[in-house]
Amino acid sequence: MEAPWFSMIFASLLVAVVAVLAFKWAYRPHSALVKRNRMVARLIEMFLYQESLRASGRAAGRLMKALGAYLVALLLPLFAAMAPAVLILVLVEPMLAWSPFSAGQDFLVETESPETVEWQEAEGLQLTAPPFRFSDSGRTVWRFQGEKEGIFELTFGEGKEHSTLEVVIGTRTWILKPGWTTSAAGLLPGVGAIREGQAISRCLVEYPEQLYRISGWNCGWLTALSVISFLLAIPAAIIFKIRL
Amino acid sequence: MSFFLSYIGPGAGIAAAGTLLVTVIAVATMLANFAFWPIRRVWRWIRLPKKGKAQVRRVIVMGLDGMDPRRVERLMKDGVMPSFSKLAEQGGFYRLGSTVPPISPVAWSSFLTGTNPGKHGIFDFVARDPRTYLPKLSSAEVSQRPSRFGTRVNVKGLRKSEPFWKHLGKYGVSSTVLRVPITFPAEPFDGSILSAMCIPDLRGTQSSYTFFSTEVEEEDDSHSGGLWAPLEREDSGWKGILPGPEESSAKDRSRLEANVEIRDAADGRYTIKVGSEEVDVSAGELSPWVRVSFPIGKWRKMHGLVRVQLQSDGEKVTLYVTPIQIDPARPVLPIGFPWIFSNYLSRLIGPYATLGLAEDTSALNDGVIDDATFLKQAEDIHKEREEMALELMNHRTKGMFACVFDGPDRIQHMFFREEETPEGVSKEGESTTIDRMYQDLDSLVGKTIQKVRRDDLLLVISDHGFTSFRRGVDLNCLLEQEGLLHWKSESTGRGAYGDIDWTRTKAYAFGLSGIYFNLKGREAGGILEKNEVSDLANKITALLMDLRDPESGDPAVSKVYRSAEAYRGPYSNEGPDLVVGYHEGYRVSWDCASGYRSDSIFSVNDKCWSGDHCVDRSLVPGMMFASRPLESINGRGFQLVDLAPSILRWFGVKPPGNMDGEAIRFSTSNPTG
Repeated sequence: MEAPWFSMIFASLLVAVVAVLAFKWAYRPHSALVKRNRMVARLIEMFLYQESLRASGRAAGRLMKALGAYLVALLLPLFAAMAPAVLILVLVEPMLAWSPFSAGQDFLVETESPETVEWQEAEGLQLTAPPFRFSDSGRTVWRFQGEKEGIFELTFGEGKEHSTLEVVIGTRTWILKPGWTTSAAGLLPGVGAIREGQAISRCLVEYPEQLYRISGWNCGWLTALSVISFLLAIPAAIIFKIRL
Repeated sequence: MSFFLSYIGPGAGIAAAGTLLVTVIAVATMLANFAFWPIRRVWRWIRLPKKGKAQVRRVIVMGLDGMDPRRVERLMKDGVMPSFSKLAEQGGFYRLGSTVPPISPVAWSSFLTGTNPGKHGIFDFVARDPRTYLPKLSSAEVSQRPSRFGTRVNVKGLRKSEPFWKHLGKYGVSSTVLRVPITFPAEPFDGSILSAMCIPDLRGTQSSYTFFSTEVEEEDDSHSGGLWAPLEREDSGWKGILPGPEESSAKDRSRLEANVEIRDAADGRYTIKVGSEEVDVSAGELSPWVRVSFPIGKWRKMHGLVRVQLQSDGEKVTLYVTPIQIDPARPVLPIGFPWIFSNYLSRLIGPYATLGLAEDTSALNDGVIDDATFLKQAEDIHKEREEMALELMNHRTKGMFACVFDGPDRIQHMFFREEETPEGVSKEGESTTIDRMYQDLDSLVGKTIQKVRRDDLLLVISDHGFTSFRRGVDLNCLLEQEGLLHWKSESTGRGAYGDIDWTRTKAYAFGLSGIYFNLKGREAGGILEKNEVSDLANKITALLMDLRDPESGDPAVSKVYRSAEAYRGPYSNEGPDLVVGYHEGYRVSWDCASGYRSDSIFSVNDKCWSGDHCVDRSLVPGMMFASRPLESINGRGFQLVDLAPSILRWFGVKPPGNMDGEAIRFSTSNPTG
């Protein structure tokens, strides 16, 4: 499946701009520069006074202190920039992290329930092996195969107790839902809500990882996004006049 | 972590990763220091000559340029200098004989070499070139020559004799030396040094400010201390050109420049852009240091530092720019040793003044800045120096530490006028700027005392004292009246020494206190035979000793020293033949010191520069406070030249034979006074 490059670049740009702006907001360039200079001065001090073990040792102590002060000056804005960046990462993961299954490809679905549940047969999907249930944990592993391209609904349980999971075969959708759990309900855009008291407490499908080819190297979405946003952050930092 | 760092842009990521690199280097250096320390110790023990047992672990020399012992005594009596009093009580307070003449370059050279001027070759701020009669800097020669990569600057130190810390280093005693005059260019030795007096500004002068004004129409360099330049109105503010250094290329010499722009900012503040750096200031406020750079060719830049002060009354706008100091973070000249030392200090305390005479006395003299601005400038420079000194004292736990503070000298030069009427009557009972400055120095001494440990010796010294300067004496005018000096008939009187008719001149005054004979075989146009020298010396000495001020009837000269009497050594013949020791209140006139012609021997000194020490050495002795009592030498007082051999002795090192001073010994009694 071809990688969603447009989404990847858009997301990288968003991450770069938001992170750079947040960094600029929290960064105190003069204070950081003073601390960085002190740190380097302490390093030079170790060479200047190397004839005295005591002076050199003290310089090393001062260097560690200065290093800490500089890291604090630098890490505060880094964390400030990280917060929105992490939020964006979480939001874009379902869009960029996986690719859909191919028609005819076997895939596994994992459910978790205290009692044994059945699946409701659906057009285009077939069970290719009997489900295997781990009685101690309540987990059941199902092996399916998509017969044709499309978006199919897998339903487990019956009546009010049923739960449905969307499975995408052969065609890219905006968001690939990895599944749903009671704990992550509603937090991730790709994960559907699951109500308390339903027969199934967890239902996950594992899509194949989406790879991105950069300079002949296949890499995961996080690596690709970090490389691209890193490159986009250079002009962003220049445009927003960040001086380190 | 590194993944998240990448989102902040490469700079922050690299910066944070850089700290990891710093940690690795630090740990590696520390381990290497520990590992090689015993080897280094053994190597030093084998390689270095053996010295005697040291009587001190550390000597701290705190130099307070121009601090006058009489004033210190008075203020101590008034009880406003507790730290000095404590030091005097603990060790001793002594007079310290200065040099002939008692001026900083001569005196500090004698301090650091332990020799008289005849051996170190520094007789004044300036020396004359006997081939041209023109003045040149006495302690260093800076020249430029074009090279493949742009201009190449060469610096040659002219002071002779080794400083005592170099000798200490040969015996394994390390030193830290801060801003001791006449140490430029910085020379290699076992320790670190930041040079001082005679470090030029980026224009190559000893101090040249720039004064921009909307009322100046074209660049004017007729002011002795600086350059006046026009400020032009623009839509958004004002604009001027800051002249920088001259560049010698293979083809020609050209002046480098930086743009200066002034823009109105909100709330009565202004944004001033010098080159590419901006600073926000209010009118009348002296800005912090601003970095300015001048490109040389395609690849290199000369980096400088300036401070600016804007004044505006609506219509007239002026901008004062301090002399462009060499940026210590990227020095264009060897102002420190090792080469990274000035950069290290810049990183430690921020940008700082590097110019030899950093306090801009010329700007105050010319009325370009007011008293408050000058004092602020001097105070800031003092704070920079204090921060440096107190910090570095912690690192130099053994060996020698020396730091000189120039502030006392500059402030006394400029504020003696507060203490006397023009007639020389002292205004008593008023707290003056100089008194307040002395009290500030007491707090510095107090902080230093806290750092002194049991085996340390603290010396607080000054190179000379101070007195007033009310009347200028034009010796060349006197020599002219006596027929010993002749000006060319077409002379304008402002052509400096070039206007003197050397074919008829037998003697001429040069510098701050020297008289030279126009000797055949020595000076290019010399006319005086050797056998005439003695008679001429007698004649001029008699003239000077009889010289009386027509206004008051007071004698102007206290003593005249002959070269043979004042100097001994291989360079004695390079110094003046006679040195004039003026009485208090008198000094060589401004015109005479510049080589200009004037109509009368005596003139009123109406400049802000109202205090001086270019008088007879016996009238302005220096002072010395020691944290341990010292024993007098054969009943004579202590001399500045005694300190170098003494410090060597205290560290168990035999002073070299060329030193003139005698080693001072510690005493068990306390002969204060």
